[in-house]
Amino acid sequence: MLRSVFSGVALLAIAAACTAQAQTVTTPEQLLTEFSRCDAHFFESLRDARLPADTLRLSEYGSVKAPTILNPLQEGGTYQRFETPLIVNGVSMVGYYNQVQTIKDLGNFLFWGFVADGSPDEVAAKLKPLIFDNTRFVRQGKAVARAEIRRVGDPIGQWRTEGLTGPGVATPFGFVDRVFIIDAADASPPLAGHTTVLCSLQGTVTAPLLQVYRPDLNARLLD
Amino acid sequence: MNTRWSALIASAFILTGCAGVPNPQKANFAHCASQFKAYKADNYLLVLQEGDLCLQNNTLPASIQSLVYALQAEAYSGLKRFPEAVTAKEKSMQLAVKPAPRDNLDLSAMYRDAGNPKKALELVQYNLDNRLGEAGKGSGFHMPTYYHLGLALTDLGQYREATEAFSTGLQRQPDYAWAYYARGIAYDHLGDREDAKADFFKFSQIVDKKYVQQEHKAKLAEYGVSLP
Repeated sequence: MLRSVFSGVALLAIAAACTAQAQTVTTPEQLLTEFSRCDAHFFESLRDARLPADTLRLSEYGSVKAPTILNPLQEGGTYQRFETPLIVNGVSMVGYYNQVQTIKDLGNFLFWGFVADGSPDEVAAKLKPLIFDNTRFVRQGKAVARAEIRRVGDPIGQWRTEGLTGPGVATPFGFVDRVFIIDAADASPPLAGHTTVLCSLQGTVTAPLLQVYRPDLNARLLD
Repeated sequence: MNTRWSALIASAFILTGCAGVPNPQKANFAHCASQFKAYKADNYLLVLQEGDLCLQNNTLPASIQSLVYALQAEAYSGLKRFPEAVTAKEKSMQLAVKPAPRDNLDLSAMYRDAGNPKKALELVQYNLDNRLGEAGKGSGFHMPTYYHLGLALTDLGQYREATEAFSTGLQRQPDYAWAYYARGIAYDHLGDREDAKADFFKFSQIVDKKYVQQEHKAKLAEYGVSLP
């Protein structure tokens, strides 16, 4: 009985927190800010967002919405090209990318976000004022990024800003790296010649973590 | 632990028994050996009694004293005298020449049983902070660490974090039935009945039934799951 009461109170608290944070997104700039948190806010905000017509094509995934793609696990099914670009603070977003990959001995890799016209430096400069926690959004080689890390067992919403693994270094087992990054896209189509504005989760990404951070995905796809 | 204990007892007998001369420690070693036999027979009260006699009036090496206390800790746990189990285990670890990371996990379990999940969590986190994997420093972390982490988090009511810990352990050892059961319990607390049921079903399929107790069966039954 007591346990049920506690569970109920916990759910109410979470619901209250979500309600307090969820404001209807009415501009592309607000959407970018929500996206740049690299958590569930983006998908929750898309549920009721009022955005320019013919830009993002959305689908419902459980209680949230996300840009429609064919299949994040399938090569060739990870990209949506917008019929009309979404203009965010002068940056032309031409598509949405969503990929999930498992690499043996290295863990799970999730990348999701926008594909933009322009160079990484131009895009980063225009978007920086909109980016959540942008004091930590700094140059890393040719890219500009904000990185953080979580150890399994840390409070689910808590990310460490010290002891980061750094670019090109595999995330140790038992840790998850989260990175918001603006970088030159792969040289292969359809992203070639563009700049990507992506969030990523890398390392020991588990289904329970996905349930919190990627409610648009079926968490069991990593089981 | 059994192997280490057997080796030490055997050495002690060789040292004290072969010379054929009276040795004040000999009688105590007999009690040490009896304690081990009692432990193997799950006779917990005798483990405690023989352990005390083994430790009496002698100058046993610290490593053997450590093992005697370790067995007493197990016996106290078996008797559900959890605070005494914690005390005995801590004595054992203080006397050990080099406490193994695994000892911290065992002590963590005893603290959970004793109703102190905060301390239990700290012990697992100590191993994680100091890269003390189950097989030693820098050896990496596997199911035992994440299982005990998950159990401590569950007892602290941090159910989401607990499910994550169990899932991490299962990436290392996907056939450990009890991690599915424990994750099912955490999902149950989160109100996620679908995932809880999936885990209880998986548990029912792979668990060694001789260890399943009535309370486990009752939880499975809540979800319409029964052992095959």
